[in-house]
Amino acid sequence: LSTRHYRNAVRDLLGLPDGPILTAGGGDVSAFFPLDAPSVSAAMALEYNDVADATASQVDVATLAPCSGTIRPRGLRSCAADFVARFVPRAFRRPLVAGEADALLDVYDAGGGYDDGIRMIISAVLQSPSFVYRTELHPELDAYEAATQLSFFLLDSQPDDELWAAAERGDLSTQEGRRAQVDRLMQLPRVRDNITQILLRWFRTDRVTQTHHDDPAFTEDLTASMALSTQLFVDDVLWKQKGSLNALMTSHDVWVDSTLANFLGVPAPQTDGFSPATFPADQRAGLLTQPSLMASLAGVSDTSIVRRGLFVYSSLLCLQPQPPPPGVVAAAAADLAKLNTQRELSDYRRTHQPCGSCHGSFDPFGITLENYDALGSYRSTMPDGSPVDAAWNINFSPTLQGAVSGGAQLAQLLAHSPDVAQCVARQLASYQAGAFLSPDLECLVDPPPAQPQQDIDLVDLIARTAASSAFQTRVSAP
Amino acid sequence: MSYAIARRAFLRGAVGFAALLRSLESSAQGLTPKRFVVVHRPNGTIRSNYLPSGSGPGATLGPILQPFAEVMSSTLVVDGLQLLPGGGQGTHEAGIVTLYTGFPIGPPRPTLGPADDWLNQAASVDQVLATRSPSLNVAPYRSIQLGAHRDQSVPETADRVLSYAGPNEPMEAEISPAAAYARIFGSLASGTDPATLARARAKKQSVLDFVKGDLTRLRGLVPSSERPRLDTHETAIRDLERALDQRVAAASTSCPAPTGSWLSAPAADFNDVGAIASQMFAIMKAAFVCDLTRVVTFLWSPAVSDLQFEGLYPGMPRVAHHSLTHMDLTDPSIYQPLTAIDTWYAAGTANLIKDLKATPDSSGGSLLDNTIVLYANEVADGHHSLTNMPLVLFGGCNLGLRTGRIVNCGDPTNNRSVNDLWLTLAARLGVPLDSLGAPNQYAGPLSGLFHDHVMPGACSEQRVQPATPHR
Repeated sequence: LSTRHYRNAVRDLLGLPDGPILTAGGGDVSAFFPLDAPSVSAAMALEYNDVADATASQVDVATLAPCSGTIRPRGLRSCAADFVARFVPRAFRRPLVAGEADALLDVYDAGGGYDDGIRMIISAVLQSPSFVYRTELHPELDAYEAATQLSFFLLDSQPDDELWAAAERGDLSTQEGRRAQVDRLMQLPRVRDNITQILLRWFRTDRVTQTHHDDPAFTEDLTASMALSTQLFVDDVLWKQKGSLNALMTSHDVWVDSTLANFLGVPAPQTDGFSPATFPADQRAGLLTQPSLMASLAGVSDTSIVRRGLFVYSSLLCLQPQPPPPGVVAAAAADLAKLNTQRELSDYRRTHQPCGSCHGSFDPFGITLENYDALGSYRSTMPDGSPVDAAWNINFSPTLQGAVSGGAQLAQLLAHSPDVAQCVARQLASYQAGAFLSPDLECLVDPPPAQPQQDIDLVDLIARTAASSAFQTRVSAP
Repeated sequence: MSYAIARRAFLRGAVGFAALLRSLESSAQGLTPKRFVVVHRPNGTIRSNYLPSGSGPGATLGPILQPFAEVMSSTLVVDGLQLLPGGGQGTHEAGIVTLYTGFPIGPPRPTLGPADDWLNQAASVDQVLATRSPSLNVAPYRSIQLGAHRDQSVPETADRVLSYAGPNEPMEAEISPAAAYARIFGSLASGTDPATLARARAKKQSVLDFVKGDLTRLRGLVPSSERPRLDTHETAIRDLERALDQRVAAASTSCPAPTGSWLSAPAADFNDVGAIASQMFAIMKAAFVCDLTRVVTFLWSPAVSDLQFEGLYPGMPRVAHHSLTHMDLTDPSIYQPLTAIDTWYAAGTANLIKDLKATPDSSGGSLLDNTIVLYANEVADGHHSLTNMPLVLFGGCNLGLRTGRIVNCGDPTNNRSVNDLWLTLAARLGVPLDSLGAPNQYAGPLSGLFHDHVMPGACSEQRVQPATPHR
């Protein structure tokens, strides 16, 4: 379990207001892949031990493991056995195996009385490999493994009561049975919030709050508003509109509160909080042109053609750029030092080898986004008063090409490219599999849509990915 | 039989563990503890302001090393060594992986970002020492990983990990002093009755026995490719048992747990990083005084760190550290702030060295006398040069380290690598290694860094002597 999953699973299992936050494993630094967790080190084992003890000491034993009408040791021990039979399969996300209940009652016996014994069982469970690892031990997932995979994707936590009951009934062995559970889960507010968060993590929209700019207008309040604005935008597109990829990529809406409205030069909303402001079609188009993304994909005092180009290249097209060859940066430093504007720097990179072999493919995306300044505002003139040149004839692939001028047109081009649609499907499949897709798992991804112009229903794609039979075979982590 | 001896015998019998009072025992038997510390700061240095002018004892330190002037008698600047990562195109990530493991980098970790998060192919040398050295692998915690900053703008794991238990088994640094304190000193409440402590320990064991049983069951079910992960977990639980024994033992000794108002929030700027580092250094020192561990790695900030140093001095540009290193390093407006940053890291590190030097070791002398500290960087400069790595050693006079000098270990015909330094250090710390890394990565131990024999009183000349008037 990742740090976030451990926290959520403990909370849900014990009915706590919140779960413990682990730090020894490095936290969730690169947490798009939910299984991206290190091996358990000594520091982590110690932390599991401390956290399990501390959590077990907080629970209300009378609620979790009620035992009334007896004070005799034998009666109490049978209550403890009932608790083990009820609680532990849910924690381990599988039925108990032979000898396991007895082993846990041995732990109970080592305690000093009923409450203490129950707390020791809970502590043992919360640090056991069966709880802290998600295991897929069957080549074809069994019902409990299937329920676990579904729930960590959609609920971001342990299976809930209904999903568990469906697993016990054997409902999850068919695609229809899984789809019924998926459709139920997708109505839950917490599942919707989770899916919004998955998309935000994928695009790393939180980066704006850690971005520095040499400009007093770029305040902490502003970056917080920008981050929340993008969250509301994604949430609105997914759950209040039809959840289409086209809307995500091309909507002219930006959600503004008074802080962001003042900054962008549009009227502030009448009420407190955020409301959508519709911008001219050539100024804002969807996720890519959100102020939060444009402001975080920039340098300290200027825009960054490289960072913006790489965002499109890696996050929207699922391609991994190679780092510059040895010595190239040093060799070019003196030449680059003489150049001033982002465009001059990019022209140099694209026309000098070996830089051009890579920058030639992703810099053009960044060039067309030059009509957003480093703080994320739309601009038609450069700081020196000359007009912005954000036109480029994109020729990336047979299915991603065309003349565009400005970020809004780039977004339109991307929204209708099967290259992007394929990447979206691939990212969702990666997320559900809990790992970066290796070539032998590419079959998990649906083929790209036959007609490039066809729009994609993201909510339906998520539901189909979740219920897909392709995930019912074991996936091993890298 | 005195009370103290009776209590020791009881605890040995009750807990089956002799860790307590070991540092007192070792002093009684004349055994000197050895320790090894790594301190890492990121993003290279400015060689013209780092390299001392002159050589030998009379050399003048460059401004970046000036903070170490006060402890120069305990300082050995090692110049002229290179890193050979065998790929990775000179990235920070390749540098840091090969610097600490001695092996060529593996393939990149699969991520959404650039393909530069190289996997390590072997355990880091500090972990080889921590597990195999008879004089290091004796304390309750085999090793401790501490840090002062985890830069959220740097997603690569390789950039923030100094210690690896094995291939692709990173050991992340704890960056919260409050959490580090709780983990290392735990319930170190002195004065609790030993029998109560022993009972609590036995209860813990029954819980851990279940956990170990579950691990064994799982081990039998998983494919062989997943077993190393579970092996690491099993080792971690054995280490945990050792640490719990020590908590019991230490609670009945008078070993002082450090006090402080421990920080727990992540660092927002360089001042926070400095405050967290000094608390981590206090915890490290106290862990050495109590002999709770003998191997510590400390990360100031990850490789590629974009920590802001605005306000470090009037006129310091508001450009983050790593971004600044990619500009023209011959331009004074670039190399001056970078010099100030590397000097700031050196000043903080010098505080640790001074503190270790001023703190008595239970076996006599100072903590620093029995400790070797390696101060390193994953690249030589901001343009990812991996030759003439900026490396400094401190302390170790009881291990024969010939400090008070600047040595150039480079050899114009046969370039020597950092691996040769590792071979030299490992032998002194109790793990003689025939080789480290790929055949082209090492040549053999370096000569001249250590005295062949450690003379009694080797450390006395290094301590500041009170001035005595000449007759």
